[in-house]
Amino acid sequence: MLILGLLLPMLLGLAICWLIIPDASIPVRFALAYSLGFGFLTLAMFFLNVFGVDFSLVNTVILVCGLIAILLAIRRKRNRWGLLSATKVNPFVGIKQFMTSLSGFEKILLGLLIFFLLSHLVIAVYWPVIRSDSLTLYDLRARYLFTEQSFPGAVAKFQNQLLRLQWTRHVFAHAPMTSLVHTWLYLCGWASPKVFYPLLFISLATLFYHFLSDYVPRYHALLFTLIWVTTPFTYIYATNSYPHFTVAFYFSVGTFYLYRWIQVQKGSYLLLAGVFLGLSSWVRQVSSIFFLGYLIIVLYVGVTRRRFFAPFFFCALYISISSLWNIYCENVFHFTGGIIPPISQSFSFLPEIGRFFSFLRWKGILTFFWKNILLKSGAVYCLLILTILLYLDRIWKHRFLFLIVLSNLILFLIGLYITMPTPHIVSSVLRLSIMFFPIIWYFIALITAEPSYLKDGASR
Amino acid sequence: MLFAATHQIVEITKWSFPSWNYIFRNPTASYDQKMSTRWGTDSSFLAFVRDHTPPDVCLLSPPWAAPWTNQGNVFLLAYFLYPRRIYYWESKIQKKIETNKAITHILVAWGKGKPTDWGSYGWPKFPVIARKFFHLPTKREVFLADLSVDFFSSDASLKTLGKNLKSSSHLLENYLSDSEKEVNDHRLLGFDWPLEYLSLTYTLNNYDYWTKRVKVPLTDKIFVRARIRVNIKHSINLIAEVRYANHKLAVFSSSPNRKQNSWESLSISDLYERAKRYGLLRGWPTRRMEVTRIGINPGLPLEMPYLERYGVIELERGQERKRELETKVDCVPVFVARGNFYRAKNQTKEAIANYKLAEVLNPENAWVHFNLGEMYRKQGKPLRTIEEYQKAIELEPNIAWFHFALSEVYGEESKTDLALESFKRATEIDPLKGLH
Repeated sequence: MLILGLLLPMLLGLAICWLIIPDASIPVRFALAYSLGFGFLTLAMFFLNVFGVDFSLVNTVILVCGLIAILLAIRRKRNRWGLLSATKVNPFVGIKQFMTSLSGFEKILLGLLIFFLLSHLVIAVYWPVIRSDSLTLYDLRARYLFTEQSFPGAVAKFQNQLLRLQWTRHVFAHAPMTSLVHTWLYLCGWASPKVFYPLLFISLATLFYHFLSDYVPRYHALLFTLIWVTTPFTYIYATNSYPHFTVAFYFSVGTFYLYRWIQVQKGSYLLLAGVFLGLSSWVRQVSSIFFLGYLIIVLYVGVTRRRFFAPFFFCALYISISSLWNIYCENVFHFTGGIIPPISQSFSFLPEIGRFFSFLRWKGILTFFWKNILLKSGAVYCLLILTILLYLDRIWKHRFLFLIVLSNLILFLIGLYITMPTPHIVSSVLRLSIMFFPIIWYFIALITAEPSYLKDGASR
Repeated sequence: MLFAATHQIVEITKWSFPSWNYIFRNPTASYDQKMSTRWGTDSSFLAFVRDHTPPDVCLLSPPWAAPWTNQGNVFLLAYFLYPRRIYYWESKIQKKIETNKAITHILVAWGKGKPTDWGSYGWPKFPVIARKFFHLPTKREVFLADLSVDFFSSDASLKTLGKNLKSSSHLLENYLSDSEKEVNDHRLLGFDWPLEYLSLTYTLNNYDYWTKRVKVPLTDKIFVRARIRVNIKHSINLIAEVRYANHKLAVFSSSPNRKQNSWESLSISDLYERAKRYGLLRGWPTRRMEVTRIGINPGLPLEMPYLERYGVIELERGQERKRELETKVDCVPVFVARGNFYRAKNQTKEAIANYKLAEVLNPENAWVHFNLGEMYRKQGKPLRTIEEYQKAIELEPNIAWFHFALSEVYGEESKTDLALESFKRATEIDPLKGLH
């Protein structure tokens, strides 16, 4: 049963991967399968509930198995032998070849990477859900979902237990993905649901290396993967079950695929970008403001490269996932607006645009950002500024990635401006900012790499 | 970049080290052990509450404010105590606590933080009718010497009897008990005089009688005494069982110990008068009474039950429990429990009758007087109420609740100066009392 908890989402993810990007390498395929599998598994649990069926273990397994069967059938129809050839690949040969070709420096980097990832796995799995918010919000909700196996049932139970209706919104209005992952793992007999997080961390490390290795030398890719893995905030928050790292995962992978699409305009990359960004808001409804920046970039690329359908496709994918929870909350729980307003309401600040010219307020926000984000985030922002200053001539080559980074930071500042953070939410803002770290490190890695390098066969 | 990587690796290693250190030391640590590393007392306290309450109870929490920032955090309580219902504290609840039958239990929490004012610590801030009080384990260490029936008279033959009793080497045996405990150690220590040592860890101690058998005719010339040394003040008293001619038994007790880790003498010097008065009250023959057991009660509830800093009180709601309230031996805790039982059922007369019997068995029990005062207040007898409250205050002057209740009665009687004086005294003892 414990194995089923990890295996079934993996199988679902693999089936989706075979359909969307059948040519992905095995490590990438597994990394994507893990994250997509859990994302779609939780969506399946949600839809079971929407149709009035409890997401019990049996019901969920039946639905997911049905989905896998449908996906495999579509894949088989498209490419009769693709599935068979995928099973013939021997991963051990590839690993052996990779290991023998490593230099001494690369072996040290790889050894450190493996050590820190395994250490992370042990620490995360050993400790139960222990941090305050992860206990009192996400895992608390998972406990109710586990026993009641439905959202309305869980809300009723919660109200019965706490005897205070106004607290329901505080616990249940947050996007449900991590709670549903916990619920699924509890249903499969896991005592602690934290196994999900280190495996996601390993997946992101794999994908980060993969996205880099096409554009930079291997030692450079390994070094930057190590730097990202050991970024203290990311490492620490990926061990506890806060949703911030999970958001960082889906948001950054979505961004990487978006950047890939900008470079090669392959439809499957845009599809993955939309899905991953949508899933990031399925974890925590914070990405809508950053999605606005991405949408502008996609619009520009779509118009200049005559891919007029792309922005609509991208937007539809994102909104179809991100708005689910708000619609459900409004119609079933009668919460209005969710915790974070849906994308349609993100423009609500526009009538008050005059406020944006308050110099004093901007000064306060920038001071806050400097003191609490820049100085507390370690080397990442300092190196970003240094890299931009030192390699100004190389930025044009990765101008869209630069725009992505810039739009994220500007919109982050605007977000801070709108919410006007108080000192007691410093740690919350810091936690939110870890979603930019993979993207910023990725940008630094690309800019600092030798400009002449291009891996054989990789497309620019 | 290498510098950045090295710096981060050092940071991560420093962060991981305590975790790894704990993992290596405790590879098979339980869930509760792991949780207590992060949540400390809060975790062990709530795990204790979880283990000592059935899942269908409704618990009243402390306010979600200092010093109960964690212990009053309803979400944390909901998580640790799932699926128990949590009733969040509101000031208006205090007035309803006796009538709101939805609440079955109350959390007892001391609070955490910087002790700027010790008076603000400790929850609940109001008296409740407790049926059982489970608390985090506390160890009581008792040294007992010279437990004996002694004589006021100079009669030589009686003196000899007294000496024989003193030199008895039998260890005390556990006689009657309403407690949850672990006996850590119980033995005679080899000194010049017989010294008995008893080490007990309680998680519930309504009463716990440790006695030895004697057979001494009860006359006005005898009294029971002992020298004791205990690690907690107000945790033990002396007891003596009297058998009446109709074979009925009653246990009389002394006032509690007043010192901590220091030798003191306890005695029941008016045993004959009390036994006679009790016999008359019960309609039992008061001739040929005899002392059949003497001993100690190391399971005496502390001065204020809530000085046991963390625990859970099961409220008396008049739950059916005939067998529990029936006993062959009359003793104070049973009558107090019966009084509480009838009080919860709103049967004031029966409650008063039981509290009065308890009062005769131990006139130095402040809570019996306070409860009697509460019942007289309910009956609309302010003078008797004030009298009983004053007796309670005389016996235990440092319990804010007694002063506050007295101030309320004075207020109702339009004795404003006296009411203010009592209220001032209550807030001196417990500053938060006035707020709640």
